[in-house]
Parts: sequence; C-alpha cells; structure tokens
Amino acid sequence: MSENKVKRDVTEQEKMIANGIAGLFGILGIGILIAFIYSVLNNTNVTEAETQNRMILEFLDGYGLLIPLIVFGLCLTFLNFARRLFARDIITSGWAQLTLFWTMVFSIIIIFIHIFQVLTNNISAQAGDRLSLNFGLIGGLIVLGAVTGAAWWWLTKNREHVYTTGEETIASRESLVAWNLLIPTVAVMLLVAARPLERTFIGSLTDRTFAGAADQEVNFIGVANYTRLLGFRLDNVDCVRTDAGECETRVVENEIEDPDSISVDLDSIAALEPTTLDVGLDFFTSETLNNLLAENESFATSLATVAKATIEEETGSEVGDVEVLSIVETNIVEVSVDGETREVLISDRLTDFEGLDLSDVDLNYADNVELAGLNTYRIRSRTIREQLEAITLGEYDFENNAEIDDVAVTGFDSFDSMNVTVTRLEVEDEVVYENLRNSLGDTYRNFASVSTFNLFGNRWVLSARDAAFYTAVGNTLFFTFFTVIAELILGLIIAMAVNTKFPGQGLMRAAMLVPWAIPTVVSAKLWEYMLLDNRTGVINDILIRTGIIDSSISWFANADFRIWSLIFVDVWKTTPFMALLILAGLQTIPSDIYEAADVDGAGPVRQFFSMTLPLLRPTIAVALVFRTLDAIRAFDVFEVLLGRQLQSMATYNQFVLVETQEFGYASAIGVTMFVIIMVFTVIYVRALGVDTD
Amino acid sequence: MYENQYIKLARQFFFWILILGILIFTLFPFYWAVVGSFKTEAEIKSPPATYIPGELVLDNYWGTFNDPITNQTLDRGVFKNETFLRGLFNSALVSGITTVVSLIIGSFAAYAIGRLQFRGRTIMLYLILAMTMFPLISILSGLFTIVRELGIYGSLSALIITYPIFTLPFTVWVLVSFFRGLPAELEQAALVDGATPFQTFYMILLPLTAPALVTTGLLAFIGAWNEYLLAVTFTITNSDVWTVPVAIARFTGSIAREEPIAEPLAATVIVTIPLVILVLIFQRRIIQGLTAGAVKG
Repeated sequence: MSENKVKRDVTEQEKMIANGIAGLFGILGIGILIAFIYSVLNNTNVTEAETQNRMILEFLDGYGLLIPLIVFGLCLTFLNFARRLFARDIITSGWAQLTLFWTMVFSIIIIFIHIFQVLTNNISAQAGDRLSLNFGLIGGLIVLGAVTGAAWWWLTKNREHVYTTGEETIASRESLVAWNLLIPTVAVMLLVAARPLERTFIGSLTDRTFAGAADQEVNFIGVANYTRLLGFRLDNVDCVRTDAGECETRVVENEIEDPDSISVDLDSIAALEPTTLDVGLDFFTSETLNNLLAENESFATSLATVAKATIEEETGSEVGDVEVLSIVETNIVEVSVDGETREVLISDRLTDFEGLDLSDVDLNYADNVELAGLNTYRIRSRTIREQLEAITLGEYDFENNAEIDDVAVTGFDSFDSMNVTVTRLEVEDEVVYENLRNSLGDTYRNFASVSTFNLFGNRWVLSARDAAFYTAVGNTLFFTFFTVIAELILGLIIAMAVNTKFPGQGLMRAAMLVPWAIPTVVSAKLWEYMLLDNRTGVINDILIRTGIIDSSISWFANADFRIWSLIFVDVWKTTPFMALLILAGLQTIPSDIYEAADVDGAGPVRQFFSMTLPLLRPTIAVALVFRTLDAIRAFDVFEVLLGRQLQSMATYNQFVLVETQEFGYASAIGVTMFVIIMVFTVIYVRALGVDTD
Repeated sequence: MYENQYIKLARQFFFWILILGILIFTLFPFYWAVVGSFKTEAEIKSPPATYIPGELVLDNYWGTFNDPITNQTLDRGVFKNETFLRGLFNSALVSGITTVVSLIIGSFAAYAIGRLQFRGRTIMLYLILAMTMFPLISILSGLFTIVRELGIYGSLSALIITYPIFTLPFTVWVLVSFFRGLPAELEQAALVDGATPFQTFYMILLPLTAPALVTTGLLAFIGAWNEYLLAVTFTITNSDVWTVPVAIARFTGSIAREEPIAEPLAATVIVTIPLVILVLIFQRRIIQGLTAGAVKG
C-alpha cells in the first residue's frame, strides 16, 4: 500500500498547511468552548439568578449535563488532536479527517434543514407567521463548512504522505471506518433520544408550564411533581360484617329531604306588622297602593317628597312641586311635575318615607300584598326569618322525634301557608363508599379515591393525589394483560392452522398482514363505525340478527363494555402479526420429530403440549416481550376510540402535556412510565429467559 | 375404512371452516369500509345496517351536495377534501424522507456493527437495542421542548427530525442481522484486492443487501406512515401539516354540523389500498424482515 508509493520530501507549503490544520483544531477546540461560555453568559436566567443554588439549577434546566460534557469532551479532544497533528501523528490524522468531514456534513445539513423549514412553513403558514432566512446562521455555517471541507479534502489527498509518526494497523483503520459510519447514528440518537430523555428528567423537577408568557419563571420544586403524581393513601373503612366475615357494607345515615307545608297566620308575625315593615313599594299590589294614596294623606305627601328627590337625582336639576297622580305598577309612580306628567321608579323602602304613618291601616295580606314581594322580603329580612323559624320549630316536635334532623323554610306558596323542607335521617346499610372526604375531613384534602377492595377481611379504599393517573395505570395494565393473553391464544391457533400446507397459503399470509399494515388510527376509526351503538353499527346488527342480544349495546359509552371493546379492536389489529411471528417459529421445528411421535402413538394434544409448545418457547417469549411493551405504551387506540373517557398512561401523559401544557408534571409522568416499563422489561426478560442477542 | 374417510372429510371440513373464519376475522372490516364508502350518508345512518349498498354512489370520493341552508352547491368527497389530500402529500413526504435518511445512516451503522471490529461495538449494539424498546411517550415532553426550541413546532420538519427515533434503531437492528449473514470471504477477497473497508461496504456488501434494504425501507416507511403520537403532538395546531392518521382522526367532512361516516370510510379505503398492494407484493420479504428483527412496526 503506502510503502509501494514513491517517497518524496514534504514541501514547505505542505508543512504550512499541516500546521494550519493543527491550528484549526486548536481554534475549533477553544472556539467551541468559548461559544458555549458565551451562550451561558448571555442566558439571563442563569446570570441573573439570585442564589448560587438557583444558578446551578437554571444552568441544568437550560443546558443539562450532556451538552456541557460533550462541549468539554470535544474541546479537550480537539486540543489533543492539535498537539498530535503538530507531531504529524498518522492515526490522529485519520480521526482529524473524520471530524472535519462530519463537521462539514452537519453544517450543510443544518443549512438545508433551515431552508426547508423556511420553504415549507411559507407554503403552509398564514402570511403573518412566515419564517425568514437567517443569513447570519447560514453564512457562519457556510464558512465553517467550507473551511472544514477544504481541510478534509487536503487531508484525504496528502494524509499518508505528510503524517509519518506512528503506524496504522488494520485494526486502527477498521475502528476509524466504523466510527465514521456510526457518527450520523450517534448524532441522531443524541438529538432525538438522549437529550430529550435528559430534558424530561430535569424538567420533571420543575413547575414549568407552556401556558402564558414565554419568560414565565420556572421554579425547581424537587420531587413535588412525583409526590403529587404518586402520592397515595390506603384507608381502612369501618363496616358491618356479613356472617362470613366479609366486609361489604357499612352503616350510613342518609339525609332524606321531604317537602312539607305548614299553615301560618301572617297577622300574628310581629315582623309583618304594618308599622315595622321594612319593604319597598313592590311589596304591595298596585291596587292597594292606589287606595292608600287616596285614603292616607301621610302616604301621599311622603311619596311626593321621595318622588321629587328621585327626579332631582335623575335629572340632576331642581324641580318644582311634585304631585303624585297614581301608582302605575307597584313601584312605578305617575307624577305631575312643573306641568308635565311623567313616570318615576321608586326604589326607596317605606322606612325612608319621612312622616309616613301606617298605624291605622288594616293590612289584609291576601288582598294587598304581592306573593313575590312577600318571598323577597322573607329572604331579605333577618327578623322575619327568625320569627318564621320559631313558628316552624313549634310545629315539629324535635324532642320526641329523633328522626327529624332539621326543618328549613323555603318560602310562601300562599298567604296562609308556607313551604318547608324537613330533613330526616334514615339509617341503612350501604355498599361501601366512594367518598372519604366526609369522614376524614382535612387530612383527606387533595385526595380522591381510586378503588376499593377487600383484604384480610377489611375493606380498604385506595386514594391518590392524582386519581386519574392511578386509574390510567390500572386501565393500561388491564388492557395489556388481556390483549396479550388473547393475542397469544388466538395467534397460536391461527399459526397452527396456517402452518399446514394448503392451496392459497401465500394469499392467506398476505391477508393476515393487512390489519398490521394499516395505521392503528385508521383501524380504530373503522371499528368505531362498526361498533356504533345502534343497528347502523354492523356488530350490533349481526348480534341482533343472530339473536345473541335483544337490543343494541353502546360499546363505548357503557362502562362495562368500553375497555373490552378496546381490547377487541387491539386484538384484531395485532393478532395476525403475533400469528406470523409464531408461524416463523413453527417452521423452524423439523417435521420428522412429529413423525416419530406419531409412531410412538402420541396424540395431537399431547404432541402440542409436550413438543410444540416447549420448542416454540423462545419465539413466544420474544413475541410476548415485544407485544407487552407495545401494549403498555398504547396510545393510538385509546386516543381515537375513547379520548378522555378512559385513558391509558400514554394518553394521560400526552393530555397533560398538550392540553394542560404542564411540562414539568408531564415529564414526571414520562419518567415514571419509563421506570415502570424498564422494571417490567427486566423482570419479563429474566422470567421468560429471553436471549437478548 | 369408511370411518377413516369420514373422519378425514370432517377434519378437512373443520380446517376450511377455521381458515374461512380467520379470513372473515381479518378482512371483514375492509369489506365493510369499501361497501360503506359507496353508500349514501343517509343509507349508512339508517338502521339496520345493509350489507350490500342499496344505491352505489361515488359522492364520498368525488361529488357535490346541496347545502340546505345557503342553497349552494358545494364540493364533497375525499378527493376534494384539502386537509386529506394535503395529509396524503405530507405523509408521503415525511415518510419518504425519514425512510431514505434512516436507510442511509442505518446501513452505515449496521455495517459498522455487523462487520467491523472496534472498541465500543457491544455498547453501541445494546444502546440501539435499548432504543427499539424505548417508550417514546417517556421522552415526549423532552422532545416537545426541543422541538419548540428549534422553532419547528407545528411544521413538517418537527416530524422529519423526530421520526428517526423509532425508524433508525429498527433499521439498524434488522440490517445488522442481514450483514452478519453474509459470508466473511467477501471482505477478505476485497481486502486482498486493496479495497478500503468503506469501498468494500458500498461496492460489494451494499449491493448484496439490496433486497434487505427494500424490505427494511418498506417497514420503516409503513412505521412512519402509521405514526400518530408524535404527529398529533407536534402538528395539532396547524392543519396544513397534518399527516394522514391525524387528518383521519380529526376528519370533519364537507357537510358542516354533522359528523360524516361515509366520507371517512372512503378516506380509510384510500389510505389502506396502497398498503394492501405493498403487502401483497412484498409479503414474503416483510415476513422475513419482521421475524429477523422480531420488531413490530
């Protein structure tokens, strides 16, 4: 190879360029560090933090650990490269070549993504939010790309000639090529997996939300998100035991409210004496007021005074004498003032009427008072309420009737009777309970019950700070367990059937792939229409035609059916795929062992359980792991079919993130799910003995 | 011997009943979608369900209707539904770019891991395996912030940049097993002829894995085409960049004030047919690819 080439001396120019490249690495190494520090110093969140702790936390929130590590790592590596390149180290020159090449490529890619983003956004966006090209960014990247590209090109041509220290081995070359090929994958993984994962972890310790202003302050709240998410309590609830000691009911006192009506004599109520009435004109009927106007002089004069004051207040100017002509409608009064006739609305109460004397008026309620006015007065006046209550208490004998807990007046329905509500306490057995707040009081605040269950003869209530999350976890595990079991059994049956040779086998396999290939969203929509809750839904129609059910079932609205409908749809979608995996496993089993078993007289059932199943074990284990992990993170079916009615962990997480925009809290859910799934995977892989290679 | 024949016949009978049952189980929904897409909206909404359309109409694909309120003739049908058509375009664009990118960088990585010796090889292998099992939802909020910081929220770029998170590890994983299956003599011969490892890769090994590339690309394409979680999270605010799954999930149809059924069924048929054709053509390859990677798309 290189030895075969004719050696010639390294020219001065080549030496200069080689030193230039070494220098370039020095600049790159220091430049990347300076750029990073510059960015941190310009981040006001970090520099203007009040305390040192806060500064560290803000730094973590903005940059994480990965970025600083990568920056320092690259800086040190580049400086090291520079040193070795000055020494003309051949192996380092290979790594330098790699670095230069990928720097150039990434510069070009970023430029293209930026342009693509601007173009596509401008095609689709409203005129207002169009993006424009950032020429500073593009220019910088073009310079970087051009310099690194040129250096790379020169190195490709002259590397083996100029760099002579050390020796390249096949291993070192292979390693170089391998990393060259791996760099794009590593870069993608860093950008879309490692960094988001890190952000999620750090974000889960903050109260960051997306709603509101962009510069909203972010606080570090430690594990508060996790305590809110995971906080739960178990309460033992008192109950009456059945003969078998089962705890299923408890004694409860139910409050039963009955309407009743009692007769009252309004004239006997002190608060309703005409002289003490604290009411407006609308308390009386218009007829009564007109009579009063004609008969009671003090009423006419005081009303005129009040009307005059009201008009002056309304018009803002003094008016002459006012004469009350008539009452038009309860509190609307027709008056004549300065020769004109007009209407005035009087809202003053009678107690404000100066010189009013109603002592000689005989107030017959039934004839003179508006019922609505009376009820309004009852609500407004404390005195009358107290007096009415006293009357009510007299009617009911509390002392000798323990059942009656309370009587409340609700209003008058005529002038000689009033409505009341009687609260009775009824003692009865109740199937145990939903709401603990009543019995536990303040300590139960922020909690909501998730489920109740019997354990060791006691009745327990599981309550959680975030009941929706616990319910979602329960739903997901339930869904996962039953879909995977059903898929495994059906998949085995289908695979066994299809494994026999028959005409049209290929077509059959293609048909089985179809449910797998169509988008889950589309299949969910399709099933949504097939499972409609009346006879336009084909499933209900078939079941009714065949006489299995009498009337249509609401598959998704009915809480008993909805999760099973969901499980059915998912089983339909994924069973064929499971069957294909098992089929592949079946085909690796040699057929002669079955022939031997036939000779030995083992029946098909025995053959299945003592030969096929054990031999399929590795295949089934792999299929189970993949299917279980898929089911645990199920999103599409839940979202499309049930939306917010019934949530899985994934739809709940997405809901919190997108709908409520609580980034910190959503991150905590994400991290929790991550931990759940990882623990699950490890246990599962160990238990099933899956070979990870 | 008559008895034996009867048993054999009965077994045959039950076998074909089972096969028929499986076919109905897997294919009936498609029959339903196709039939429904040719029914009138009125027929589809009047119980009981009809199994053969009473009147064959094309309106759900390409037609017009009369708005009873404004008394105007308006377009209807999925081929006149802009959101859906643009969804098809967006999905094709995003899935196409994602597939090509994943294939290119995935085949690099797969070759490195599958054929070359270097330090850190096992770690890379496990990292990539871990990523195939990775719960995407766990990092959704982290991705969400990064997408917002890059200023690509609500755009196609958000999908193109994030989709490799599930297509790339899968591509690498499947291709590694293909590369490992190739005989070692190929490289040794190339090495003797003076080819560099990279030349060996793209001149000798890559052409040999072309069938595997087609399979893997197809699976990656289907995976990206069907993706919903990232699409709905990153593009929900901008209906111009909805992909097909989002467009179908949020289908509103042309007639306002009424949720249509026939039109989404027509949309379902349109989306499904290309996939069914692909599956029919590449059936054998897809099964090979899937069982090699043992990964669900």
